[in-house]
Amino acid sequence: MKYARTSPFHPMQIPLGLVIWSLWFVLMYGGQAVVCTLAPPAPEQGVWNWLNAGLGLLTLAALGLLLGLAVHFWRLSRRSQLNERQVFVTKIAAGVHLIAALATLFVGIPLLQIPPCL
Amino acid sequence: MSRTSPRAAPATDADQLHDQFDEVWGNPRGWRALTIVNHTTIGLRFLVTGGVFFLVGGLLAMLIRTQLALPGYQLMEPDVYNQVFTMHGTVMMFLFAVPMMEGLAVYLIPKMIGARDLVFPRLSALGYFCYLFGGLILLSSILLDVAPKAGWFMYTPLSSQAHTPGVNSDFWLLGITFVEISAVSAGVELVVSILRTRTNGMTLHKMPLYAWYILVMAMMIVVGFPPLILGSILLELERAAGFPFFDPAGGGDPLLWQHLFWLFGHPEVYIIFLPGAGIVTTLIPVFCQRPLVGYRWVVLGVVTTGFISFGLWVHHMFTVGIPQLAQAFFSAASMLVAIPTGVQIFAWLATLWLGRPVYRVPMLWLVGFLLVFVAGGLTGVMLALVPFDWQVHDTHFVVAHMHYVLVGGMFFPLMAGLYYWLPHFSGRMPSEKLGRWGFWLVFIGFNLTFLIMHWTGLIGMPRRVYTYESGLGWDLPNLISSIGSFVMAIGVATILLDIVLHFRFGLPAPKNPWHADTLEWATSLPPSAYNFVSLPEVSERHPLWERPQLPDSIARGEHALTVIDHGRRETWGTDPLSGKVREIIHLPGNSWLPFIAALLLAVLCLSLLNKAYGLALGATLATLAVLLRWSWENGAHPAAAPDARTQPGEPPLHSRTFDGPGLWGMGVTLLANGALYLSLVFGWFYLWTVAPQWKVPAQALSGWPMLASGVLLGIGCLWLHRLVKRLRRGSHDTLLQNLAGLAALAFIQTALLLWQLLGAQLAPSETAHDAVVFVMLAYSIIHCGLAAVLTALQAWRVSYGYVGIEAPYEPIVVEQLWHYNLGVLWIGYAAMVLFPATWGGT
Amino acid sequence: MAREVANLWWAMLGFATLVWLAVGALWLYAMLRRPRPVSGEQAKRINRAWVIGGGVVLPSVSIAVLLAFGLPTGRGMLPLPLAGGPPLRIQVTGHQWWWEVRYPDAGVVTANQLILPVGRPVDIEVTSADVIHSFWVPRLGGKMDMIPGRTNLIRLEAAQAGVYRGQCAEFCGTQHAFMVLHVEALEDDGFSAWLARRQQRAPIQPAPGAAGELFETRCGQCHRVAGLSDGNRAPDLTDLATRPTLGAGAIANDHDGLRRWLREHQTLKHGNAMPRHDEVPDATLDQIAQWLETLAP
Repeated sequence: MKYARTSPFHPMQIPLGLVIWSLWFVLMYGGQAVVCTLAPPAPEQGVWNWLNAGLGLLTLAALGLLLGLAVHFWRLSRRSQLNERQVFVTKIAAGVHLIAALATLFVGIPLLQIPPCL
Repeated sequence: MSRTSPRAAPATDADQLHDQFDEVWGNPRGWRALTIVNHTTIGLRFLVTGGVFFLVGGLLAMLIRTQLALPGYQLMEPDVYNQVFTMHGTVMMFLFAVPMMEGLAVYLIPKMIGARDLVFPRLSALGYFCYLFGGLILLSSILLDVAPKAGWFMYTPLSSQAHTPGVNSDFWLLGITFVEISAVSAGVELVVSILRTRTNGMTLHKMPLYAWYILVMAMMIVVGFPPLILGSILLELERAAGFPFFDPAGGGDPLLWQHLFWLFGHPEVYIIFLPGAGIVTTLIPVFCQRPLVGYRWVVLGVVTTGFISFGLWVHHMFTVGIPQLAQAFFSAASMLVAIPTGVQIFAWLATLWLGRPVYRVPMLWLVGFLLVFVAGGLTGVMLALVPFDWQVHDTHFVVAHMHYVLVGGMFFPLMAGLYYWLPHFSGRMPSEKLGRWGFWLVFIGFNLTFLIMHWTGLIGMPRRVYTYESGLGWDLPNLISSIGSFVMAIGVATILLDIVLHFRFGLPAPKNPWHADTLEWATSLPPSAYNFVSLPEVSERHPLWERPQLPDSIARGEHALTVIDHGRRETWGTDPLSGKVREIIHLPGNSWLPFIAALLLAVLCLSLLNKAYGLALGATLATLAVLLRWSWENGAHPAAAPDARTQPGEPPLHSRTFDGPGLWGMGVTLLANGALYLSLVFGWFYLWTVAPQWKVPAQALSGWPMLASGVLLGIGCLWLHRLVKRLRRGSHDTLLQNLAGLAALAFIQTALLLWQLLGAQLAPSETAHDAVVFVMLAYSIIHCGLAAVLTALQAWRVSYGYVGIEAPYEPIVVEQLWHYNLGVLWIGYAAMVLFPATWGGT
Repeated sequence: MAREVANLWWAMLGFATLVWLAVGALWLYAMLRRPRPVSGEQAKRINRAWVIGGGVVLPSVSIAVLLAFGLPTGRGMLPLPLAGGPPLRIQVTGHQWWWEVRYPDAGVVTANQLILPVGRPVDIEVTSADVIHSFWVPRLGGKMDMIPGRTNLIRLEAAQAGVYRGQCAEFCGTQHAFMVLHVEALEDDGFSAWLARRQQRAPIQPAPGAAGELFETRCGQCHRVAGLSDGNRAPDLTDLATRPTLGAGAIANDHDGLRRWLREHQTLKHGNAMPRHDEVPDATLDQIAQWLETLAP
């Protein structure tokens, strides 16, 4: 059986969560580097500056998206009429999204601790 | 033999069937053995060559430990010592670890997934010879006393012309790039083979976990190696032509090299570890005699590791002065790897918990693996912590950590695997006694060497010093390490002896000697060149446990694809997800072409080393000619598959469809190529933003010829797309004329780019800006030129009848390159013309 | 700061040892025990408990704890603005294979020795004149790479007076092993006196006779001696006699050491940038040595 790439049962969905995580990670690192070169916030502000805040919002958005998708795939995998292959793809996709969410959370924590450009 | 249904071939004489297969698949002897392309032979060659390089690397390690045994002791001059430790790292990483793991995968994967060979057998052979020649060139530098000496990660500016004026660094840059051709080509081939040639019915979620590990490893090679290949090209350009990519005075930045190197270097660690973990995952269920519980968990862990490992590279650069917040991102990401690794370790543990493991020599190595690797993983988590890393970075603590991870994660599983598959290679069983001695000597020697080394580093001994003074507290730990290393060396010698002896005295192996579950044990021992005389349908995860008679029925030819009077080497082409048969893939046979191409590449490498650029150009053109000739023997060519008739009920040959391994191979190769180009684009923006003395020339790049070229290429892509569409609808009128027209368009479009390059009055040896522009344009010119040549060849092939309505497959493969070129050209235009004119202007 | 990292290390070591022993013991026990056969459902449950407990929860909690302790430690090392005005600045430049040390605010230059005040944060600005080196005084804190074209900042504070050993940590070529930095932390008044002696020093007289001539035409091309020569490719020699070693740790700077160094420096530290000068008579070298011994403020 063939699935469209957008179908929740296409194996494309397996790495999707981590692809989202990777993009978010590149944005975090790249954004931080570019802003620190062009317009660094003053070190006196500590962690409460617009750069950390912006990156923090980005983190929350990514976290929300990943958790939402994880729940979505988990629910899908619990449906009764699925065949083995569909269960495999949806369960793995749910796991990958969850791990990606966890990874987003962990990598985002330092935003609360460290000022951006030092 | 029945011709009506291949499934129900009557049980004619099995030997007769094997003789027929041998005629098509068999290996020639003597000089013609150089033409062999079969994956079993190539895989074994990789393993043996890798083993020899391992011994060389080990010898270098002995030299290092001898020098450091006593304070102030000078066995070697400092410069010789520096060559020795550089080569130890280089040999172990590039000539041993990666090729060994790839070689094992090349040997095992087709057998495990029920195929007769890898999809691109000639590419396997090319890869092997590139590896062999590149390795020999690299090693020859030791004998000539001009070995690389800037450390195995070749940091600029130490490795650049000003500070290492001889050919030392060139040996590294050219030799390693040469070897990497082999790594990437094996990576491409493994990906496509795993996705497209699993035997009938083997769905993605039923394939052996080892194949998952190798799939992820191969994808990581495809994406992870190109940054280093690019870095090596740029550094070689800097050394040979003075392009200042890494020189701050010309607007470059030495840190760009570190980014490119570690963008490769960190994934590399997992490229080495994942196949090791794959061996562990394969062996544990066999020795427990029960399936691994948590198949999905392990897949989850492997995929996660593959991704996260690309987000860690900066943890090798915590002391270069990057803002601490950015370091913290990488620090947290580095620690995260503990989770997928933990998942795998506990899945193995759970399997051991539920099973009744048998204590044989491979199992001993697995216990050693766990103890050593977990220790290395734990120090790895410590190192991920930025303040701690600042303290121990570049000390012997890191040396100890990385040996725990690499020896633990790669060497111990490899040894387990070697003992496990030894009957497969030789048809004989390994001994239990000598094998145990070997294990214990290595295990004790290893820990003696490296456990204390953590302490040596903590009390302040930096790595890569050729000697040290007495009185700093470093004397005793170093002596202990040196003694340990000699114990380990004796252990390695014992293992070597054991293996050599077993070829002579080992007991003949019974069928499936470990009572394993995977298909590689369904071949004869040692296997024939075609693995399986008939290809079984497999819908279970543990075929040999559920159908113990499978090896016999396979050998009797009771399964599919048993007719071979057409003389083609065939295997199933299956759907990547469901494993349903889609087409018959016909594979090329033995050939001199790979050997000659590799030989010419070696000439290219040597002439670049000797700065004989005329000869280099000649070798490049000759290589190109050989490779094009190679591509000529395809489709309906007499040397490929002129007669497309198959048995009734069988699917068509892949060259008679619109899908086949070449399409996938091109796609995966372009993925690697794209990773290389994106690394270049990254370098451009990186230098633009952070290079300390970045200079933009007053005269901006006009970009008109490039724009015109881009538009023309876009038109060409549309044209080709319509052509392919028509072909798909079954019409090939004026195919020849259209292809010829397209080729002409591509030549014009390439010429426009050439005009852009020559007319821009670039000064690439003055500024990094112009140097990057030069490389980006040259990249597009080479690729567009290649597309032009390939399209012209397609037109020519149509006139021979090798391509056409009967064999419509190749234009689609070429079309992918066109689309790729279009993307590259426009990204380049945006980066080089649009970006500077807008945001980059400030 | 080094103390905090040491505490962090002992805590991590303790925890890691515990985890290692636990995993190892579990593994061995799992291999040795002889379980009753279990059903597929039970196997799944047991596996899930192991994988989630050991593979997901254990590492996640460990990482969270580690980050909770590690991040503040790292933040403590940031060169944040200080309440009492900017700290003392010292510029250290790496060369193959020696250290150039400048006190820009006092106008003092020295080489291969770094003198610090005790109990005060010091900002060290590091860079390199050739390849990448790394500034590292293990007992004072972490390391910071010295990269050509860039200047990095590392803040150190010596809690106690005394001698510390610094060493180049990034492989930098042939004599990477002999790129040692003598670091000494002095009490506040001792430090001021150290600087003052160098600032208010009487003009240096050239060496007498042939030695002086030779120094001016040869040595002085690369070495600086305040008031006499202006070379900048090799260590400043103005306060040479106060340094404990020659060749950045290659040999002790005493009577015999100095004379041996002048004769055999390419044997003692092969590959260093000072050319061989075997044709210079030993008597002249000894005169130069004698004069160099007077170069102390």
